[in-house]
Amino acid sequence: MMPSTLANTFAQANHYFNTAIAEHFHAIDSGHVQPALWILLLAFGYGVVHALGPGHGKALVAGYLLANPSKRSHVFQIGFLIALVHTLSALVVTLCAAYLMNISANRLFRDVNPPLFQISGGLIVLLGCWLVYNVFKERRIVNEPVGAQTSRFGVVMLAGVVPCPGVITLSFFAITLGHMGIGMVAAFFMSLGMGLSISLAGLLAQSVQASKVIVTQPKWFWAIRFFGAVCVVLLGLWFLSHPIPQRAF
Amino acid sequence: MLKICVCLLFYACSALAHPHTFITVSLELNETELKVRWLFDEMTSQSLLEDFDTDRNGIFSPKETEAFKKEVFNDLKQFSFFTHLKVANKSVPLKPTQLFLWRENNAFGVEFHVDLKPYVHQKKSIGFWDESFLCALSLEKEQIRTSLPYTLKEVDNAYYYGYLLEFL
Repeated sequence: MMPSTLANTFAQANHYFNTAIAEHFHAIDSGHVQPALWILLLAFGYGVVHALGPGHGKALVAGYLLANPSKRSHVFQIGFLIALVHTLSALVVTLCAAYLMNISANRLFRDVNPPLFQISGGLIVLLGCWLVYNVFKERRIVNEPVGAQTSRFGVVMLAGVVPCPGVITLSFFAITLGHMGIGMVAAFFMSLGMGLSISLAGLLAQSVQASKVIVTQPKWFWAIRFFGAVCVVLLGLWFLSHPIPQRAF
Repeated sequence: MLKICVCLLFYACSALAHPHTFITVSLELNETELKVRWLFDEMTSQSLLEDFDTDRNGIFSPKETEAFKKEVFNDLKQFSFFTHLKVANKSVPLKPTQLFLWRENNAFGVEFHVDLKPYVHQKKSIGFWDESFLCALSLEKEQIRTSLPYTLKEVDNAYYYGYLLEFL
């Protein structure tokens, strides 16, 4: 599949879910329970395709997992918690905009997002430096497990703190139609879908780290860990050097 | 191969992109003027209507239009208003001359005009895309009204896609 086709496919899939969810929100007023159930199902699918595209912390998770070999359960924990924090930060923006400031969530989002993005980038650089230091310190450790990994919660916060624009759009839309409750639940289902995609990206990185070549070659094991840590530093630097311009929509 | 690498790198690194705004583009053009119309998806429309149709009457007063221009439209200059004009194979900065807003059912519409008089009888092409891929633009032949001969093709730009209108 050519890249442009890939971009096109992502766009079309996102468009499909976006449109279908909007249509079902209008159908809720008919009084039937079916549209609400469809919204939840579609929100889950929207979350999956939304997070399969660029962003949502997949690169950070992959770099972190290469640097810090983790149990499979931790990979899923990281993936779903990132999605949850990503969604919660979006809901905070949406609710503040709608009920405290009386403006659209997108308007508030474009104000808070660039600085949040920069702060997140700076913290990712620090996390990466810490990983590089740790990997270097543990260079004699040649196989799993590698130390205690409470740092994964730091990764969750750093990757998730930037609000998800998709969740903001969905939940604000629900609020304007008077369906805040179903909007919030739909946002949660969307986060489950995103969590699945982020976890799959994490599993991919984990499978590299767990491959026979890496496990049986101590030097490779260390090199891959070091590579993952450097990737996290570079990712943070990339975020810092590419500030997000204020966007209208 | 390079394109695939760029694509993967972008998909891995970019923080926000993946379109969450969908714009249907329609065009009307002749030798001297280009009229571009955008119709937004319903979710994005809802928040734009909330912000700029302040009296909720579905009609945009000059004051409301000016607010949209100041807060939203002018910032799109850095993205060339998602409309990439080339004259004699050279990129030309886009300078919209007029701006209109409207509501069509639940959708928010934007129309802006571009003066093409300085480029009459020169070979032109117009691309429609958002390089940051936050917005996905769609353009079909049925949405183009012109008497000028042209070709429309999809453009492969590595990590985003778009459409290119070339005049013969």
